[in-house]
Amino acid sequence: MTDSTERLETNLRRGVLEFCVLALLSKEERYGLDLATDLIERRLIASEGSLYPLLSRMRENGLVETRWQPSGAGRPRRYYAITALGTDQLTSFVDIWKSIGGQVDQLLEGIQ
Amino acid sequence: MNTHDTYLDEIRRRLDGLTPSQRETVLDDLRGHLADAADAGRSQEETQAALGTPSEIAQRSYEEFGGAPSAVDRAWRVLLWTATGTAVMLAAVVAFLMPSYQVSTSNGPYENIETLSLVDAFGPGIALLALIPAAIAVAPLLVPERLHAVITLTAAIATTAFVIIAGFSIGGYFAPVAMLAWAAVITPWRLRIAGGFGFGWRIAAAAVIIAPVLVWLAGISTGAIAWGAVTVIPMIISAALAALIAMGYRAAGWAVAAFGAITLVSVILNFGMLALGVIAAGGLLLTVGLAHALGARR
Repeated sequence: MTDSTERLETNLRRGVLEFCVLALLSKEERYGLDLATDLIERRLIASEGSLYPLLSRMRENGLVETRWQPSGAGRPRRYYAITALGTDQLTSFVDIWKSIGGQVDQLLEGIQ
Repeated sequence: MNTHDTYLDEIRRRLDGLTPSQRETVLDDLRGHLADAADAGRSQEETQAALGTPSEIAQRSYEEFGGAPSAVDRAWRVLLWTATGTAVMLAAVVAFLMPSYQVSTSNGPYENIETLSLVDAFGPGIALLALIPAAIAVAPLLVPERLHAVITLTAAIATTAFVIIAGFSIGGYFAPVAMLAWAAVITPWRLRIAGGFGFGWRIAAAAVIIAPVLVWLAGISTGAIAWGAVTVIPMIISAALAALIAMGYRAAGWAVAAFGAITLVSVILNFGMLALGVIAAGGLLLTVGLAHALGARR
C-alpha cells in the first residue's frame, strides 16, 4: 500500500472508529484487550495503542463508562460499557451513515 | 522499576500538554490493557510493541483531546521564536537606524556634523555581524529533536557570550535575546520537572516587576517624584500584576510580556541616551512575562 492510500484509509477510519467502538459496545461490554484485538482483526485500527486515547476521550465525553468485573484469571477486569449518551450518538450516526453511505455507493457505482 | 513502569512514565512525560485528568484517564486505560495482556500470557516486549511507541500514543492522545502540543514544547518554541524576532528587530535598529557615528565635514567656513548609522559608516557587512544573535537564537529550532536541549543551552551561553564580548560596542543591545534564550532553557525544564513555576520562581518574577515601583516610591518619599495619577496608576498596575504573577495567574504574564514588547518597539521609534537601559528593561519584562505565561500552572 502506498503512503497516500494509507493516509486516505487512516483519515476515513478516524471519523468512523468512534462509532464502530460504540456499535461493538452496544452489543456487549468488552475489556480493553478484547476490544483492541477485535478492531485490529477488522482492520479498523493499525495498532492497539491508537484505541486507548480514543477510549479515554470517549470516557471524558461521557459516551462510554468503565466498570470492574471479575474475570476467569481471578483478577477483576476493567470493562467498557456504552452510556445512554453514547447510545444516542450511535443512533444519530446510523441515520447519517445510511444517508451518506447510500449516496456515496450510488456515486461510486460502475467506477473501478 | 520494570519496563512497563518505564514505558508508562515515558508516556506520562509526553502527555504533559493534557490536563491532569485527561492524562490519568489515558494512563489508566493503558494500565488496564497491560494487565489484561499479562493475564493473556503476552510478554512485556510483545505488549508494548503492539501498543506502539510512547511518542505514537502521545500523538494520538493530542489528536483526540484537541491537538494541543505539549506545554513544554510550546513554551520552548514560543520563547525561541520571540528571541529570534527580537534579535532581528534589534539588529535592524543597531545596524540601520541607530545614529552611532558623528562625522564632521568642513565646507568652507562652516562645519557640518553628519550623523551616520553603523551601515552608513562601515558598509552592509556590519548588518551581518548584527544578525549573529538572531542566527544563534533560531539554531535550536532547526536541529533534530534529540539535539534540542543541548543546542538550546548552547544558544543561551553563546548569546550571553556575544552580549559580553561585544559589550564595548553593540553587544549590550542584545541582552533581551540572551534573556529569552535562558528562558527557553529554564521554562521547559521547570515544566518538565515540576509542571510549571513553583512559588520561589514566581516570587522572583514578581520582584522584577515590582522593582520599578519601589524605585518610584523612594523617589516620591524624597520628593524627587510628585504624587499624581501619572505616577500612581502605573504603580498600582505593576503591583497588581506582580501579585497576580506571584499567585500564578497566566494572564498576568501575557500582560507583562505585552508591556515589555511595547517598550522594546518604542525604542525603534525613539532612541535616545536611555536606549540601552530601556532595551534591557523591556527585554526583562518581555522575558519574565512570557516565561510566566507559558510556564504557569493555571
